[in-house]
Amino acid sequence: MEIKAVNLTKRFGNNTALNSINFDIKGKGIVGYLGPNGAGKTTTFKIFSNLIRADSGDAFINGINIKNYKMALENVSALVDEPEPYDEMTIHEFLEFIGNIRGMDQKLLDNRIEELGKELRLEDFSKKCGQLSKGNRQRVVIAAVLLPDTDILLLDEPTSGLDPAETYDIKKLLKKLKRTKLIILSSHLLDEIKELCDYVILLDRGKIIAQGSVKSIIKKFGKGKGEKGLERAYINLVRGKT
Amino acid sequence: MKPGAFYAFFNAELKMARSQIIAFSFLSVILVVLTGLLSIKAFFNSTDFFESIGLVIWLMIGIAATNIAAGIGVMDFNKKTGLLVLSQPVDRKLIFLSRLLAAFLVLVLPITVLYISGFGMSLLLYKISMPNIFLSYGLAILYAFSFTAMVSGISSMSKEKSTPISFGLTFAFLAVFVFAIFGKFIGMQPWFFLPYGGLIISSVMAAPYLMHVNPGNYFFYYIPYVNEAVLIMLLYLVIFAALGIFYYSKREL
Repeated sequence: MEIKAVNLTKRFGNNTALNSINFDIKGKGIVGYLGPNGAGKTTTFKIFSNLIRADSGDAFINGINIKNYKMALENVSALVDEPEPYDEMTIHEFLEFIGNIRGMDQKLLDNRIEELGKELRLEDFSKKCGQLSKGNRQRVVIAAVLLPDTDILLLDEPTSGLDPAETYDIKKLLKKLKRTKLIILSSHLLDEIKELCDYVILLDRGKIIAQGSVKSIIKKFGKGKGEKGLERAYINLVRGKT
Repeated sequence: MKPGAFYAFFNAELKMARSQIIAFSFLSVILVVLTGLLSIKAFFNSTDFFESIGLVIWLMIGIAATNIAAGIGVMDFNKKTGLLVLSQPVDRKLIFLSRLLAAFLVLVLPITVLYISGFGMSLLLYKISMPNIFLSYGLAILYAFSFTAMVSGISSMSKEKSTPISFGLTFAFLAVFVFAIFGKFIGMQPWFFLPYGGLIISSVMAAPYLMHVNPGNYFFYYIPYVNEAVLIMLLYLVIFAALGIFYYSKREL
């Protein structure tokens, strides 16, 4: 399991969202992808899920360039920038639709839907997605992302819009999944990152400003008054006090 | 690309259009009945009735195709559904194509209902069948496909669904003024205009000996021959389907 960025650059008009970033993440576990709003986190996720194209540089998933997206995305599932299910479809129809797109066998698909329904406490499967609350819609979307059981997951603020109990369920699930998968997790919740991640990449204004294990980041950048630990390190890094 | 992905998008489009299929089929019956009542009240002869039914079909196709196709190219870009759907390992060209084919299929039912109810009304009122009914039906299907391709192509270049809807409805409703301006005033066939090709649906039923120029009619000054109409419709179908596929594949989210 590997996800690799080589000199990845993306501009939107005069704004450079990603400025020649490089990383190479291998193996299992959860990697935190951090940074202030507008740092380029979602842009990176969008490039790796073929929603936008890089202006220059390359993105590789398991050694396959994303330019060959049909092959590269076979083993990746992404939750980027608060997606929504189709309002007109029921929960079951939507999950079945995603499974069918992935070419999943019907029996496996039914089992996965049932399994995820329990794990994510999805309510009545016959309810239309358009009738769901924000939290329930988010859980349906997470179920759709986890449904194909891919080795690599790109999760952009997966607990956004969830209440504390729902957030607890997702974190519990992620802790289980990290044993067998490579997960890139973007979040503004540093406690969540600290609890779940082994490694972090910190981004600011389109550039990677630090990367390493959570412990090493705290040790290296976490000095100063007030907040301690990862929060202090984060503030020091994004405010240039390092 | 797995074959299942094509059918997944195709079936999803059909499911989402269910209520529209029912609504347009129901509306089709009502329109034919109203045309029949108008024929009785206005003492239409059979030719007037066939021409009116043809024009109802022509107009109905514009409205139905606009409603059904307006979302094809834009639905995943103006809402956040595309963030999940388009990040799947699926060829975007085939997503667009599967939705377009589903929209074609969706339109066949209301058109068939229009012809069956028109045929019934014709037997009831005039004791004769509509002339060239199968030719007209085939041309109506082709017109529906071309109109759908045009609206979906515009949809794939639009930011909002309202743009293709406005465009399609303007095309459908203001067509007669384009005919009048180009026919009566400029003296030119509006051969570049899809609804002009669609006029053949009505003409083949109303006039077995098709007249190319109809000096007695202000709005329908020129009427295309069958081969001209087919060419116009095929050109729109191919050009806009290709544009739709191109833009849908290249769009960023």
